[in-house]
Amino acid sequence: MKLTLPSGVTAATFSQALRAFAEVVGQDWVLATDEDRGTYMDAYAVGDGSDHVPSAAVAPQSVEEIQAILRIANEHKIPLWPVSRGKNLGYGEAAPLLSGSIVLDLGRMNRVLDINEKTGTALLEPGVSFFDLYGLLRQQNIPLWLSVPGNAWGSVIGNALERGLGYTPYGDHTSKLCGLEVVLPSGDLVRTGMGAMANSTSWQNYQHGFGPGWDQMFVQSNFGVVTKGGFWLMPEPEATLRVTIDLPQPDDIGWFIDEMTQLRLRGVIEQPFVCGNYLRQATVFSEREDWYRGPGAIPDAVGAQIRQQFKTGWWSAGFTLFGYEEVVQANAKIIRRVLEPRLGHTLKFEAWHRGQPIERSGAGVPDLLSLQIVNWRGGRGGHVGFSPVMPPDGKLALAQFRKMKARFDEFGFDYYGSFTLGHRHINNVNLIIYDRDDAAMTASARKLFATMVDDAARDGYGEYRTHLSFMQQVADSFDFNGHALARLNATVKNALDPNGILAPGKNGIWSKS
Amino acid sequence: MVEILRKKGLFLKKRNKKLLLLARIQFEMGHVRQVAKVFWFFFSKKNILLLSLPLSLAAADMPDVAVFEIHCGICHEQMGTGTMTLARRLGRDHALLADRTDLNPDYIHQAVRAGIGSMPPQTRVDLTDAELARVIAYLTRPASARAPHPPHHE
Repeated sequence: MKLTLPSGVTAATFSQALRAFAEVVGQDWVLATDEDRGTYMDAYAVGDGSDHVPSAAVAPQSVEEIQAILRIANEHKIPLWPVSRGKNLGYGEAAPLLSGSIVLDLGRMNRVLDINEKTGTALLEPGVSFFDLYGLLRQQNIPLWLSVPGNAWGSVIGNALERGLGYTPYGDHTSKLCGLEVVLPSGDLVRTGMGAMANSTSWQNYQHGFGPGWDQMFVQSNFGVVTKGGFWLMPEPEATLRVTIDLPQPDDIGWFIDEMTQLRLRGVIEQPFVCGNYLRQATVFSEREDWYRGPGAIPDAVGAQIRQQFKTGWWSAGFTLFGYEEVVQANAKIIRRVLEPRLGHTLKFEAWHRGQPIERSGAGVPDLLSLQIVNWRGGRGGHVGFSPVMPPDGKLALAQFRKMKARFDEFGFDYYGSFTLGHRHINNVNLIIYDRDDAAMTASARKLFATMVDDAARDGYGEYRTHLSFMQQVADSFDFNGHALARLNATVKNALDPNGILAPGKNGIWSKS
Repeated sequence: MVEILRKKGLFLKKRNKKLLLLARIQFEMGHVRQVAKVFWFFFSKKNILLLSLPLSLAAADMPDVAVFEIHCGICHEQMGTGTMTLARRLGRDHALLADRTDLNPDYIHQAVRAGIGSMPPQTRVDLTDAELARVIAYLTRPASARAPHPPHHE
């Protein structure tokens, strides 16, 4: 990938900055060849990726090096795009929003600084992946469990900072952050929460600190570079019970959401869980051409064949009960009482007891199998998910499903939809899978996405997280009082980062410069 | 994804069988220290980044196979997502990279740094040039260095 300079920066200034970075991190960790730039592009770009091109990457190994890099970036007015591990697949991966930005790759900062078995707390650097942490817990036989997202290649802290999800009672990852260490754009170093005390004993134990809590200010933002994150881990339960529920008809999503919402609110089910359509299985274990080679979205008759082959419902949902033996058994009984009359058959729970292989339990085990889905359309695959937040209401979910499915049909994409039930909300994920080698299909995917953002905004649903290419559009949909939130964000941005060097444009946040 | 997790138990067992074999080969070659490392990585589900040691330093002491397993194994082992894709697209005989004899250094370099199919490119932070050279050495090792494999398509 040829060099694209940051806007307003001359080639001479750029080279000077790279030399200064090399003095800080060593020449080996300034990655500025054409090949390097290519490696930081978005492999799943919705288009050719030319709208989000990095100019180089720099990979520090310490807080001091990050502080020095920020000083140099301020001096030369060069935008930086921090990534923890750069594996934010489907959201832009490591690529920057603003072309010409230098990726600040924190992948070398991969130390697990502390794990407290007794309190279930960890202190992690941003380069620690789910695989790293899982391996460490298992290797040292520490009875703490992870919650992992579908793509576990990425960073634990990075995922929590983007509000990623997993599927245990600790699945709302951002809510398990407890205390951050952050380098501000000025180079100043702060610790949030109780860590603001120099000799704090409880940085990872109490989230709020004294006075305003700033942790969430550094989530999905561009106000600082997080260098350490406190993170809560779940104590290994005594038992788990897993169950998969298949719903035969598309309209079943309505009653199911209503019943499950009550079970979730009353603590019978404690994890966020996904209720998704049959394409979730088909895309992992097969490719589209195994089923259908015709134009347009897969016809309903073919969908029926797929469901028959995979012995799955139109929708299916899997979830786990975690806890003491007596508690999970009692909760399973409640679930049976509520759901079996609606389903017309008995539910089969799969039990795990402490001491049995963890892979059979409801623990989060890191995996990359879900990346299979990008192969669905053939060629170089990509995916992008439109995920508006909704109230947990069956009637609304059914209406939303019908509307989104109609859009997928209209644009000729196979409907891949799911409803992830949070505590008091739904993330309605609409996943578009495309072949990047097919320019027309990719352009159509982009158009479908943009259309769904507008559709949802009209209905009062906004996205919880989005790909680089749609950040501005989604940010613009948060429009109360003439975009007052955007004004607040800009005020904070200008105060902390007057030169606008840190991740300009991330989540629609820009500084004046 | 419930089904996927269920299969996981089986998958780990299969992998461990292969890894035991690799460790035995290393042992027979007199690389006792490497055996310990191979065991450590494989049975701890690998890729554990050591409490404070950068991986690149640790890698210098490891056999090429361990460097490959750490950096590529998550996707390119039995039942890995890369193995599944290759089986589907190129056939089962081309699915496991470790068994391939048709890979050349330039091709591997290109696949790693530019990405291939649905595999994203790997940066020099993911995998340094020195580590990539070790991966290439492993995947292009001569026939004499290849162990007789148990059939892997069971």
